[in-house]
Amino acid sequence: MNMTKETINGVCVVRLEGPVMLGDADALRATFRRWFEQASSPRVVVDMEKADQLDSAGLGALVYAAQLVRDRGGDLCFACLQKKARLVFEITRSYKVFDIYATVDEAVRAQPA
Amino acid sequence: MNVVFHTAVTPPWAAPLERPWPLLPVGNRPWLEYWIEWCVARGFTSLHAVLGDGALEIEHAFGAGERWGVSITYHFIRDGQSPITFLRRSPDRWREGLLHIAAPVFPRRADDQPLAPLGDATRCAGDPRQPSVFYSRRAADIDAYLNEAYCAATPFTEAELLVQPLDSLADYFDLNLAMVDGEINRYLTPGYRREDRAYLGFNVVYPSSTTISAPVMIGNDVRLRGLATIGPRAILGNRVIIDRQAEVTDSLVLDGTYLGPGIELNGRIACGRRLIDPADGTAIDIEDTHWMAPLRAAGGRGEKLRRLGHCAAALALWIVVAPLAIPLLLLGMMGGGRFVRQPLLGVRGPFLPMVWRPGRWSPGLIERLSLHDWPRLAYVVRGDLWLSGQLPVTPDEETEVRSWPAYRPGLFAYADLRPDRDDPVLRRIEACYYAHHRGWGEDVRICLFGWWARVTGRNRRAAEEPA
Repeated sequence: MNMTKETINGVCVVRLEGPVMLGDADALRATFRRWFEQASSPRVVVDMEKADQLDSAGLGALVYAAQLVRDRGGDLCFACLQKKARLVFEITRSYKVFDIYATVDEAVRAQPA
Repeated sequence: MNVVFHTAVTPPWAAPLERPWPLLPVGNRPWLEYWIEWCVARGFTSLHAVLGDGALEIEHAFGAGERWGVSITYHFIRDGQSPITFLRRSPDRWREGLLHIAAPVFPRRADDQPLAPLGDATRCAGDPRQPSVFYSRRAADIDAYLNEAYCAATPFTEAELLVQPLDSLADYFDLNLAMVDGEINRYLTPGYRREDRAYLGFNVVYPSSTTISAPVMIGNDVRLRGLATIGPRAILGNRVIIDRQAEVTDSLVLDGTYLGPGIELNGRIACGRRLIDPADGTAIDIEDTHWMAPLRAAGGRGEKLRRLGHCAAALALWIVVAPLAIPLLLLGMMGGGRFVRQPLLGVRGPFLPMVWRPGRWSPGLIERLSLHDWPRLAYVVRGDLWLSGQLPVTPDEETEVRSWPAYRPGLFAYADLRPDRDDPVLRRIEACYYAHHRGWGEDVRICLFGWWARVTGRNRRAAEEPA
């Protein structure tokens, strides 16, 4: 799994590429810690367009990231969920906990200024 | 009239479900069962199934057709051969009449009225040059069909046969939901219809905190955990476990599937660890077994463990009771008692166990203490009987037993608790009861109560009392 980060209109867009699964969960947690542990009220959009697989460990890491961001007064939402990841979000009812947008632009626009 | 089902080709959309189309469940019954019942209603009894993938499973599921009073013969063709190729092998065989189901289509019924007679006209469904269903009693038309030439076939009328082609997972899913919505009543005899549209199978166990909202269909051997919500419009197959707080609505859960705690299934098909969106056929395999997982086949580890428990208990009893049983049985034999061979239907089929016939001077204590069953403990160890279960029947009654939900012949049985041991109605009721309540606790209860009823002679006393 690859992770990249860019800032659009003050919103941090994290792009995930490849499977987000058991072997990648620790790296995902560590990267989020490194990027956002010192941040104040970070607004984060996770772009899942190229994340083709997601399992419980990967979802757990994303929940951890959301908690990390929210603990610092910020918010985390998801954009461009692919079909397979969407099914996982659906059966685990994660869609009730996170805001999910169709595009990154839409997600960025929805963030409070 | 010969009916030929071509089952060798599985439609591409059914690939994620991993079973041949005749076994795909429609309203919790195999697809082909609807066709067989349709044939039975027409009086067609000579059925032929052309097999390909899943041949063994199909044969195992439908057998020789004795359940429906028809004869099913199985045939094979090589991969890639067309349905007509098989018919051409022996064209004379079909000339007296042919109904050929060449593609996976469903015999839908518009209402629950009796089917209209088919008559002598040649009928077809779909493209007349390559029909999915062909019917004719005319030798010339049948020959033309076998030669893939044009014959004057007209479409079936709705009252004769409403062919429903299933071209996608969405069609299949919609058909299932239509069944749970009430269409299933058109295919069931009145005694089996449920006005509340809640069909529950045998051995469905759930606590009071589970919510079941009609319409639902739940198969056999299903476990629902606390706070689970099933329905409306949910179909659960056989051997399904729905864990706590899970929700299943507008969905189809196929046989042998486990859904983990808190999982929500809405408008989806769950098949083992495979989650399918019927709208577009997207299928993902969930790797997390605490979310979704396939369950073992029936008769797996749990059954083996139970068998082991019965064997161990029988062996222990055999050793413990031997010092008392041997002298008393010898005494009984001196008093005219003897063991005779009597054919019974055991776990593995018919066998010839020894049955005690008391003599005039045999001590009654032998039967009261169940010592006459001491040699028969060996049959439990050997695997022909269970220690407790149902009263073993004779091999002549095998056909009757096949219609029971469970047959577990045991040394001790519910029949020991009552005087009229051979009452056929009570035996059937007990078979249903045992299918619902079978477990370690129930097995121990049957043993203890059955043994105590023999000791006290309660069952015999009741029999001797005047009516």
